[in-house]
Amino acid sequence: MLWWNRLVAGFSSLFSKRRKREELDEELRAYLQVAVEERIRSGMTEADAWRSARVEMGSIETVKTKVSAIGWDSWFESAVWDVRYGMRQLFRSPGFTSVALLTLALGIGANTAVFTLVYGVVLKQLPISHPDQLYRVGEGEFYCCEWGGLQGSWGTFDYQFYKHVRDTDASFTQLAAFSGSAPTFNTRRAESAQAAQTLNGEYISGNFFATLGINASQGRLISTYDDNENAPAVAVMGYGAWQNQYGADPSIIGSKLLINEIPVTIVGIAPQAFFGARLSQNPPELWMPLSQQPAFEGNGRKSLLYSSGDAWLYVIGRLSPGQKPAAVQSKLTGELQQWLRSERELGRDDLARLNQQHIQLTHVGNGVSPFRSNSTRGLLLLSSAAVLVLLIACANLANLLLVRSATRRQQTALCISLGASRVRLMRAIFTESILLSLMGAALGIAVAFGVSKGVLLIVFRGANLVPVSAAPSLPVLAFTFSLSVLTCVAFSVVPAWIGTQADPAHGLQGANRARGSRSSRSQKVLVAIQAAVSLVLLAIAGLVSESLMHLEKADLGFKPQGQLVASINFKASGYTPDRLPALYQQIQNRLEQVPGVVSASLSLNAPQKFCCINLNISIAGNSKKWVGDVDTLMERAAPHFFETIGTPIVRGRAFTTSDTQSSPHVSVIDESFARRFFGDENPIGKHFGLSLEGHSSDYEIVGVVKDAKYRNPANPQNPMFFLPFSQTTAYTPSGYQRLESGTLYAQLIEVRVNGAPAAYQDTLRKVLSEVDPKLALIHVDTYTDQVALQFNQERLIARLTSLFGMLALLLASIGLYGVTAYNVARRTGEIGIRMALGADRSNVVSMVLRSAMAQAGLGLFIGLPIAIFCGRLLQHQLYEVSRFDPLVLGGATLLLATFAGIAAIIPARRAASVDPNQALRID
Amino acid sequence: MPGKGDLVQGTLEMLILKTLALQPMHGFGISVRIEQMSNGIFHVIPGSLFPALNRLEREGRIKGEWRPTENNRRGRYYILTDLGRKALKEEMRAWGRQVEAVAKILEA
Repeated sequence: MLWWNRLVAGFSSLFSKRRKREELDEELRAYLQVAVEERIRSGMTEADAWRSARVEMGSIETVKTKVSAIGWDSWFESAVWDVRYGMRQLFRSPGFTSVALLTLALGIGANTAVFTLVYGVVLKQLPISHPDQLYRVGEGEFYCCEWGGLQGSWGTFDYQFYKHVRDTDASFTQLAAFSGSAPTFNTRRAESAQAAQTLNGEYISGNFFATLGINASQGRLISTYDDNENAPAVAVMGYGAWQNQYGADPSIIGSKLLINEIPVTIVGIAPQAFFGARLSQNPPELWMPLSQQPAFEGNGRKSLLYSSGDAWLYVIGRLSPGQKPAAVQSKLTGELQQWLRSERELGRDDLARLNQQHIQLTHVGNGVSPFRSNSTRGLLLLSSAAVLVLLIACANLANLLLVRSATRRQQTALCISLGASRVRLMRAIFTESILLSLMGAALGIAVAFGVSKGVLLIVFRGANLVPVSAAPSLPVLAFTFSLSVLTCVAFSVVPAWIGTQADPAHGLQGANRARGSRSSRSQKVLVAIQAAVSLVLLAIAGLVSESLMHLEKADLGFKPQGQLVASINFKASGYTPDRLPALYQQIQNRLEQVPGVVSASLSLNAPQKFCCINLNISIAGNSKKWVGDVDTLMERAAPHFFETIGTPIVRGRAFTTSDTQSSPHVSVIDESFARRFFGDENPIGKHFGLSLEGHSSDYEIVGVVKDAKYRNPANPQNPMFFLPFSQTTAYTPSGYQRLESGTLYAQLIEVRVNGAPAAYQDTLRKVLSEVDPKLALIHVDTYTDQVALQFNQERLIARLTSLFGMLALLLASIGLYGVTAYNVARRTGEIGIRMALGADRSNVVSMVLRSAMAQAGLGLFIGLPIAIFCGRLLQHQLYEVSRFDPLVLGGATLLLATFAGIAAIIPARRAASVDPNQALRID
Repeated sequence: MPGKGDLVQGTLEMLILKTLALQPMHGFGISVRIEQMSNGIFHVIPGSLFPALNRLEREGRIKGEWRPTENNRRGRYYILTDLGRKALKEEMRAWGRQVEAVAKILEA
């Protein structure tokens, strides 16, 4: 009960402070009065009585202070006082306050923006129940192996292995699978003549949603009963697609849609925030059971679902209670090796590699994400840059506070001589700093919101859904709050310590005397550190920008200008492979008849768009083993492809309409292919084929084209060969057969035009719908935009690091300026004496400049080795940038020197304009 | 070591409670009474008295009230509450035990 009484008493004294003080005052006076009367009664004179009573009591104010320091409320009250005092101080010096706030807003804003991205991309958990329990069987991305082959560390699996593990391994309470690729589907309502919509889809095991533990927002989700050959065809639609493409029409649930012309019942809508188990730029909007895959593939028992060895499924699950991931991992590895040995017919090479095959269990509570692993390094770079900017901001603020406490030395000395404790004074400085910090953080959140919104727009340009939100979420706010507190501590501890060290006697004397105090030394060190850090940031920004410049200027081996590129899904429109050659011919002819169109073509992939299929080959008459180990890229193209995209033919010819199934099967190769496999020999007329028994002379080489960059130029590209759509080879293994028929579907249409390509977008759509109204383009873009899109991330990182670098430089310059200006002001008297003794203006200027440049020079001295070291760390991420780039380092140094010079010359000139007469009169 | 006039830490509050157990008193009265009862050994100055009174009042052990004094002025009188009476008993018992213990050690 004691604490309760204290609490109540605290509140009552908080709310009746005034009355309490008046009462105490009256009580103390009454005491004094009685004490005096008592003394007079015992024989003292009135004067003596008063003196004696007063001595005993001490100052009434002191007693009052002692009394009012009792209880928790007094702490609270003094905190309120500190806050009020702090606010008053901040308002009194608007210049200082606005510079400090700006610095903080930029520093904290940069960090909050980067954290928003990091949180959204890396840390944020999937909107599912208990995301922490969710593990993925395997790691890495979906990139190869759909037609079999060993993976080393496995990432995707065939349906048979998934089923085997699901049914025999008790390590998981639930084990679900979903397709790694996201094919597009054409959907339309059965009864309406409305044009088809395209949606990304995903095949999932029946227990997928149960494993994730999520519920439908409308209707129901897919269950194990739906994942059955005999079950009626059903699908679940994404919330976004339902809202945007079907106007949130509730009648869609339970009704039939034609998906790729197959009637499917939509049974429900996924939850609003659910974008699938992967964080992807084009998340699935349609989920269908794995059992429906054969119907859409149209290959019956030869479909992916029934095949063995075609790794196409991601597998995720929840561990059973008590299972250790490490143990489950090694158990799964054993199962995998056993499975491979018993179910696959492995060659000698594969058998030798069998014991290297393993499964890694990865925690995927935040989603399976190829986007994340691509971006992690970039985000790391951005985070480091942002932290460095904040560090510089802190140094600046610390400097500002040091200067301020130096100018307030007199006041501080007065406070101390009047009895204020040092702790109390430090607390006042801390309060002021935390006020600044919190206000800065509030501004910073606004800055960050704008920045991250812009960043996301750039990163996800062209994506139909942005799975990362720029709006500050609770974790982001918490981050910013802790960051601001940390920042406050970082920039205020030293100034608070040094600033309250005032010796009252000294402080009250002439305050403007120049003294080599500790504060000015720490200021100089801070400025040197700032210069060093900003040099490092500038150097990094320079390297990253140089890399981007090289990327953008890289010879891509084709001409994106004057070209349109459109993606399309012929399969989704119901075409079978036998009808494709005629269709392609028709589309090409119709397009080339359009006035202004120079040429048109179709292809499976194209440079900087949809790259590529990796295959191994064999060469007729060359049985050397290395041939089969070289990864090559396969591409299919229609006639006029090379002239349309602008890749020159070096030798021989391109495909023509006379290359048909019955004519000799031909291939065009690129220069690296020719160089790699044929050296200096003329490759024309040579034969090769896929790396499969009896296929080594399937194709005759009829032409060689210049190398073109199909992938990001920063990545090395493998030798490449091209096949015509009009010729197809029969294979025995089902994977190869599926690959062969799958690649007959062109995914892209390219059109080269005269004039601005953007103007031809509608024409392109019109021509296609004239050929067949069911044909829907998924996406049309000018080729230059498409290429620019490829360097989005690099550009973003280059721009942001440059921005951070300039910010750092600006802050460091402000810091140098501040310290120099302050020292000039402090040394006005000294400068006056020097000038009176005969120093001329240039002496004074050079004295001030020398001191400023010494700090910048120290910064350079510290910063250069760090910058070189960082360059080495970054080198492997950069494109055609050497480990030590004197141009970038020199540029950064020059930039820093220039800014330092400007920052120093202004106060130096002011120093030179000191009038000795006046300067000497100040004290 | 506490010399003449110094109070052992924490005992002032007990002495105030004991003083008020006889009758309600104002600040000066308390200070005089403690001095008288200790035969002038303990002299309580206002700088210690008033903080102690405030603490006791916050804890609900005493209650302050404005009343007319003997010479018809307004004085703040402190009254022992039930809580204070209980606390006094408690503290006196504890004090007694401590004194006994200290005495035993010193006699040994």
